[in-house]
This record gives sequence, C-alpha cells and structure tokens, in this order.
Amino acid sequence: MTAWEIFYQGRYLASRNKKLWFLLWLMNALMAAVAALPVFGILSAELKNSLMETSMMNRFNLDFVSELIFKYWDSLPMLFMLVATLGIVYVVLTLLSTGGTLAVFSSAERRFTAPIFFRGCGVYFWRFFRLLIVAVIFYGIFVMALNGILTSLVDKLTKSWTQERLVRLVSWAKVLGVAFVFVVVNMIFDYAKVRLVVDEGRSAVMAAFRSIKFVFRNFKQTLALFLFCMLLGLLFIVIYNPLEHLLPQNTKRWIIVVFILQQFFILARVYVRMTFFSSEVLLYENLRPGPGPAKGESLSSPGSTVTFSETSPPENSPVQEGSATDPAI
Amino acid sequence: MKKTLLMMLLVWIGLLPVASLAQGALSQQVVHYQIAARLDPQAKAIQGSETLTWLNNSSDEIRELQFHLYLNAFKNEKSTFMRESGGQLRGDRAEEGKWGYVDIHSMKLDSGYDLKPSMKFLHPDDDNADDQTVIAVALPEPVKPNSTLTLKIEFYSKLPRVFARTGFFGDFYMVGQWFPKIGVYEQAGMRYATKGQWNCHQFHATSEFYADYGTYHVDITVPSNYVVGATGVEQSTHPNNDGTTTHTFVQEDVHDFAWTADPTYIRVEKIFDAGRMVSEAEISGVARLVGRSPDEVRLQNVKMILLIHPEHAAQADRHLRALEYGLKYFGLWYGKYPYPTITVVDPAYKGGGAAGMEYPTLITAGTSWLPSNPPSGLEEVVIHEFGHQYWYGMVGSNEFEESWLDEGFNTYSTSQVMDTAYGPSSISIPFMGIPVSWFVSSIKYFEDTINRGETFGSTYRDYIVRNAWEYYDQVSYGVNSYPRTAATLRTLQHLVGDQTFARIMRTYFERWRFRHPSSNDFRAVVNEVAGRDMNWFFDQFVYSSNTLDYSVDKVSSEKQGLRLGLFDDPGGKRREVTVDDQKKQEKEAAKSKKQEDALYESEVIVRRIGEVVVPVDVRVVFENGEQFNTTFDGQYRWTRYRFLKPTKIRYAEVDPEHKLLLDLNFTNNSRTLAAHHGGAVRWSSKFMFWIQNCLMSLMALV
Repeated sequence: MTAWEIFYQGRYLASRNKKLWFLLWLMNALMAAVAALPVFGILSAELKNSLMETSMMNRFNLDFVSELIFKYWDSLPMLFMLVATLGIVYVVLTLLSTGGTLAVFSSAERRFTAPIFFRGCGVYFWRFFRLLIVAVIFYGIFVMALNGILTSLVDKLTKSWTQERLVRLVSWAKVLGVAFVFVVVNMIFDYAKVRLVVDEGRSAVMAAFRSIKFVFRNFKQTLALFLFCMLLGLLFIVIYNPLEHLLPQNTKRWIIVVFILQQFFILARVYVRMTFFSSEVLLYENLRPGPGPAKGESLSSPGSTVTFSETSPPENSPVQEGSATDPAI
Repeated sequence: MKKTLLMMLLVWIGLLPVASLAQGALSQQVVHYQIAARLDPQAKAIQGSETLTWLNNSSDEIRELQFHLYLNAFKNEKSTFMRESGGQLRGDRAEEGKWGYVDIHSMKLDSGYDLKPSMKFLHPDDDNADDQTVIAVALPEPVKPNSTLTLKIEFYSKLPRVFARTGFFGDFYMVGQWFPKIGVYEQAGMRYATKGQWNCHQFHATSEFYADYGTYHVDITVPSNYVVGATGVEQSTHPNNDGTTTHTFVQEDVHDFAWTADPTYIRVEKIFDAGRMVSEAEISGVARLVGRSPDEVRLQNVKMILLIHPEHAAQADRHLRALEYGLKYFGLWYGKYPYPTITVVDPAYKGGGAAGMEYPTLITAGTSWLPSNPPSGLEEVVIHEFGHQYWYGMVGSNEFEESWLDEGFNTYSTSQVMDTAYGPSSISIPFMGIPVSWFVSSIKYFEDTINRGETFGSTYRDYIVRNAWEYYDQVSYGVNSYPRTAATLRTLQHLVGDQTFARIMRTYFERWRFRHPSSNDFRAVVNEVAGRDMNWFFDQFVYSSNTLDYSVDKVSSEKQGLRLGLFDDPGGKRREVTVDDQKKQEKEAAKSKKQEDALYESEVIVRRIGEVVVPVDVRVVFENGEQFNTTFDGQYRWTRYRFLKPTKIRYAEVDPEHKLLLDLNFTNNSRTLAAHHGGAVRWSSKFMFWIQNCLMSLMALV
C-alpha cells in the first residue's frame, strides 16, 4: 500500500473511533479548564462590577491587561507553576492514553472498547515512560545540540556579513534543517511506541534503535505519511483561523459560538493526532520485517462496513503482559 | 608698536568668526569649531585637527577649560560608562579588542602656549579615577568676560566597533562624539548654578549630552568611493590626488557635529514642500490653537536627505514620509524647523548600536530587511529622532541632569505625531525576522496606552527629575525619562486643556530655543501660560514618586421602604411600625404595577487610594439615563454621595474621560450596580483554548 492509502485508512480508523476521540478531547479540555479557572476567577473579580468589562467584551483592552500584569506581577510565577504542573500531569496522562490509543488501533477489531483502551493504558505506561527518557536524550542530542552547533556555526559564518537578507536566509535554512531533524526524531519515537505495542516489545532502547532502522529503511513512506498528517493539521488551521476572526465575540451568544468552534478545532487536532497513530500502526504493520501484515485485515472504503480477518492474529496480543521478546531496559 | 599692531590684528582675527556669525545667528554662538578630519579605513580611526574659538559669555574670568573626551568611554572596562552599562547598551555588547579612544596629541593656544602639560582627567560625578572622559587644562591667563580664546588641538580618534551611538562595522562609519568638545560654562544664576562653574559631566551609560551652540565648519576626508552625510550643509567636495575626497560641511546654531560614511549608501533627496504638505486651513487652525498669527506658524521648505542601505532601498519612501510628518507637525505645533537640511541615516545591518540616535540636523533611524507594516518602529524612530531636533537640538536642555526635558518631551511629542499622522499602531512581534502581523491581525493601540502601560514597570522608584546616572537602575531611568514623562505631560494637557497646553509648549519652545532651560523654566512657562499656580502638579507628578489611584468603592441602590420603630405623626399621635407592617407594604408594592413610583436610596463612595491629590471628575449614571456630574477634590481620602430618586444607579465612574493617565488602575474607576461576567468568560475561555493548544502540542512530543 502507498503512504497515501495508509493515511486514508488511518484517517478512517480515527474517525470511526468517536469514543476515543471524545475521551482524548475530554482529557485535554479538563486539564485546560483547571488552568483557566483561576484566570476566570481573577478576571471575574476584577471586571464584574467595572465598565472595563464592557470594553473587554468588545476588544482586547491593553489598558486593562497592563494593569492586570502590574497588579498580579508577583502572582505570575504561581500561574506559570500551575501551568507547568498541569503540563507534567498531562505528560503522564498522555503516556497513559497513548498506550490505550495504540492498543485500540492495533487490536483485532481496531475499535475502541473500554477494556482494551484502559488495559493498554496500564500495560504500556512504564514502557512509554522509559521510552520518554530515551526520547529526551535523543531530542537533547539531535535537536538541541544540533541547533546549538548550527547556531554557533551560522554565527561564525555570518559574523562579518553586512547584509541581513543573506544572514536571514542562512538562519532559515538552519531552522529548516533542525526542524527536519526534529520531525525525524519525532517519527522515530512514534514508531518506537507503535513497535512496543504491536510487537509487544519491552525494551525502550531496543524499540528506539529498531525504529531508527525502520524509519530510515522506509524513509519515503514514513516521511510521506508524516507530511500527509501534518498537512491535515494545517488544513484545519487554515479553516479555523479566518473563521474565528470573522465572528464577533461581543455578546454572550457569540462567545458561546466561538467557544464551541474552538472546541471543534481542538477535536480536529485530537483527530489529527489519532490519525498519526492509526496510520503509523497500519504502516508499521504493512512494512515491518517478518511475517507480513500482522492482522491481514482489509479495510473497506469509508462508509462501508469494515471487516477484519481473524485468521492471522498477532503473535502476541497487544495487551498481554509478559510475552515480549525484547528484554526490558 | 609693531608688536602692538600684531596683537590687535590677532585679537581681531580671533573675534572675526564670532562677530561675523553673530549677524543673523539664532543662537549666542559661544563656540566656533573648524575641524579637519581624515578617515583611515584600515585603522578605523580619524586623524583630526581642530581650531576652537570659544567665547566667554559669562561675567567671570575663566582660568581653566574643561573638555569632553567621550570616545574614552570605550577605552577599557574601567571607564564609568563600561562599569555602569556592563559593556552593553540597547542589546549591543562592546567587543573585545575593538576599543575606542581619543588621544590628544597637542593642545595649544593660538599664541603657541602649550596647554597639554597642564592637562588632567576629572571625574566629577563618581570619582572614578580610571575614567578619562573629561579633562581640564589650566590657562596661563584668565579669559576675560565677553572675550574669546582660540585653541588648536591635534587629536586621534580610534573608533570602537559600533556601540552606544558611535563606531564602525565593516565599511559603515557612524562618527559621533569623536572630537574634543568643550563643556558648558555656567555662570551664577544660569540653571542651577550658584556660582560660576563648568558643567562637564563624564560619559554615562544612561545619559547623553550637553554643549554650547555655535558654528561647525568641518572638512571630512574619506576614500572617494564613500558616500558621506553629516550635520549641516555640504558646501563643497574636493577630490584629492591620493584617491580621497574632502567633503566640507558647515552649520550654524548647533551644539554638536556628527557624520557618517559608507560606500554602499544610496543617497535619496526630497524637498519637504511646506506649501504642499500643509494646507492653509491647517495653518489657520494651528494658529488659532497656539495663539499666533498664520505667518508665525507657516513652515519653510527643507531638503531631506536619506542615506539608506541597498537592502532597505524599498523602504525609502516610508522613511521620508515619516520625516515629512515630523517636519510638519513639530513645525506647526512648536515652531518651524529652521535649518536648510535634515539627513536621515539608515545604519548598517549589525550597526544597530548606531540606530535611533539624534545629532543636530542628522539622525539615525533603524529598520530591518522585512519590516512590519506601517506604522511601525521604523516610522516611530524616524519621528522620534527628528523630534530631538526640537527637544535637545534647539531647546538645549542638559541631558545629563534633566533627561525628561528632552527624552520625555520628545516621547510625548512623538506620540502625538504618530497618533495624528498614522492613527493607532499595531503590536508587531517578529518571528525569525518575519513580522507576525503580516499573517495575523494584531492588537491596535494608541500611544497613550503604551506610555501608560510602560510606566507601571518603574513601580515609581524615582522622581522624574534626577541626574541620569543616579536613577535606581537603567529601567527606572528609561521609564521616568521616556513614558512616565509623556504620560505626565498628557495628564497636564488634560488638566489645563488642549489649547492652553498647546500654547505652553509653543511658548516654552519659542522662549528657550538655542538656550539652556531647566525644569524650573518649564514650570514657570506652565504657570504663566495657564494663568494659575500649577506648582502642586509639578510637586506631585514630577518631584515625587507617589502613586495615583482613584476608585469607586461602593455603589448601592435600595428601594425606600418603611422603617421600624415609633413615629410621631403631625397630629401628635405615636404609631409603631413593625416587621409585619413592612411585610404588608412589600406585598402591596409587589401587587402594585406602579413600580416607577418607588423611590431608591442610592449611595456612591469615591476613594483616593494613591498619595497624589488631584481634583477628579465624578459621574453617576442612573437607570433612566439621568446623570450626576461633580468633582471630588481628593483632599480627604474619600467622599460619599447620596441620592433619593425614583430610579436605581446604573454605574458610577471617577475620571470618566481618563484624563489622569497616570492612574494605576482604570478598572476600579467605575462600578456598576449589576455584575457582568461576559468579558471574564470571553478571555478565560480564550486562555483555556491557548492552554488546550499547548497541551496538544505537548502531546505530539510525548
């Protein structure tokens, strides 16, 4: 199958798992709501009996914002701490949910069921946690260090240049280079997760190194798939941004409309993330060395019934613990 | 006899420049500089020869001269400038191995008497023995009052890599503060001097300059392929046999001279056509506003010269348009620009240390390859630096001691020009050199909002008026000298009225151009033109670090009902009102459809939270549209207003027109009876959405 076909099927898989979609959105929305509540509390306390409230309904009033920053300057670190704490909690939740999501997509039916999802969350959490540590090292070495080295080289190279245009072009080339490496590292760790689930691996290091091999051996397909998913995300951004700017937000009704629109956008982002995972699972199963497509499924086109062959189940059930061939790190 | 005749001839020759320049001159012409400068592009240095004729316009006999040697600020890390700045200014760092300095090879009187042996370094501000930015030389004979002295100085100026307004980068040269410049002798009674004394401060990280007016005649010799711009009018260019060209610039009535050279400059010239730029209606409108005749307000043509680098050539029109707005509005509001030329320099890329600087008739701008849409920093910096031709250039306040009189006045004026010429500006943040505003609509603002918002940052650690190097820190210097002053002047404008304030500024400019005013002189003009004592304003806003905050603390409206207790009616009968009576009345009122007959007891409390006491407008608006307007004098901490009306209060507001720009909190300026949450919901939901997006991005990484 081509990368496009895989992407198409992955997209279809993502869209038919609406419960999973909703669950991931809910996780995101609840976490963000926790951060937004104190902000609402402060804004409400400041504005509720002030004419400034009317102004803030109509536009972003810089007078109010600068006053607010000045007044709560000492409290800002607390807000950042709260957001950072939420970020950490969200990382944990993401590690959990990624296990569940991949378990769903690599299951025989590829359909969300609570047992598959939650067992997947639990079974793969520590493996993904170990993989995260490896990923941090990789990101540190290949992205941060590369960025540092390239920045230093560019600075040295352009030190005596007197034309900003040339310096900018070189800088952008550097950013593109670093972004490309970032994409590759990101792909590698996505496939490492897929590998840990589909192949029931237990070693994060082995999974990472084998997925390096996998990504580079199938570079065209993996990169193409990544780009298709990324373009899908960009498409949603292109649709959402002008729409949001077109809508007035100066009445309660419009605020609700825009809030709903924003949540649709987040749902779209969740959908893109799910498409990433589902199509990566499909691609991995399609291209992995060994016994060919693991599940031998054939997905019909969207809109029709999806059928799966159960004749060649995966060697190891994705949610069965202790059947791995890779030693744990 | 022969000797006497010779002496008379010499004295006559010495006086000649001053006497001749005094005819029709706008300033007192204290100095006359004749300088020959030769650029050595290999050494990045200037070989200079200076003949200075100095007029002792005081009633004192002067036995010592003091000079600025500003370039020595960049000589080493022990100079006062380097110690204060930590070797960085406006984001630029001094570069190791590319130091700057000025050496005086000789300094002689025209009699041949050598002053150099008596030369000593002074450090009047901080006693830093390592600082070499000020020198004093002892004279063999005192200079008599109203007589002149001529000196010949040979000097060598090594330029630093462009930093703090001056230096080189590649072939780009911005040559400022480069020659030995005499200080200002202030006799008793001038500004704050209680006795005759030199005012010659060291070069500091947070201060600029102060010098006397006069004439500069400067010959600049550079390689012939260089394009040169400088203070004043280019009188001639003379090619030499050694591949160099000498450019001669002359300008009267200025207090400094700077120049620039770069072989890659594109020179663009345009005439500011006063007749085309300013309509008769505008002239008569401004004439009425400032109380002058239309002829006094009318402007003159000016040659605008732009020296721009090739990669910014497409932005030439933006530079010149901003300059035209500066010439127009500063000219109309304060007085016409009197010089024949104004030169704008576009500094080289990585020559940002030279950007955004003012010299007489020569300013430096600052842009990037991909600028934001107009109006942006490009326009603002051109207008601001041009504005310094007024506040610093013509009104020669002491920037060392009273930076608010130039930077603050100019920030105020720049804001007015920007808002008038361009309307609201947009916030633009570049991302990797690309303005984000190209892709997303950004927040628009008027300058008052920015000036006010930036003022909060100082948390009022200092008074506005202070020696520039003695503020709490560089941030406090910046906030007090720039936006806080602008917001203070705007507040003053609101308090005295637009017309009166326009006349104050015009009078101050007209009275003090080509002179050296102090803060007290501005205060005197305010009191005179406003026709009332405004000292209270200066005491609280300028010479104080007190905060200003008025609020509406309470708004209530309660329906008037029966009160409990014993009441005597006019017939002498005593009747008791009980809780049951109250309930009965409430029931009847509820049944009655004549709600409009009900009376409401309303109360508003206005409070002064800050220390600054200033009369403030109070407005109470009722549900039926009725308004109550009054003024709270602020003398006591709070005041209460009570009303009995057949309507409830909708809201009460203090300073409804936001006249007091320095009020720390506009949000508490008003209080509504009913609470509303729409604004909080709108922006907290937006915040939630931002967080959601951040979390989604995080998800992609994990």
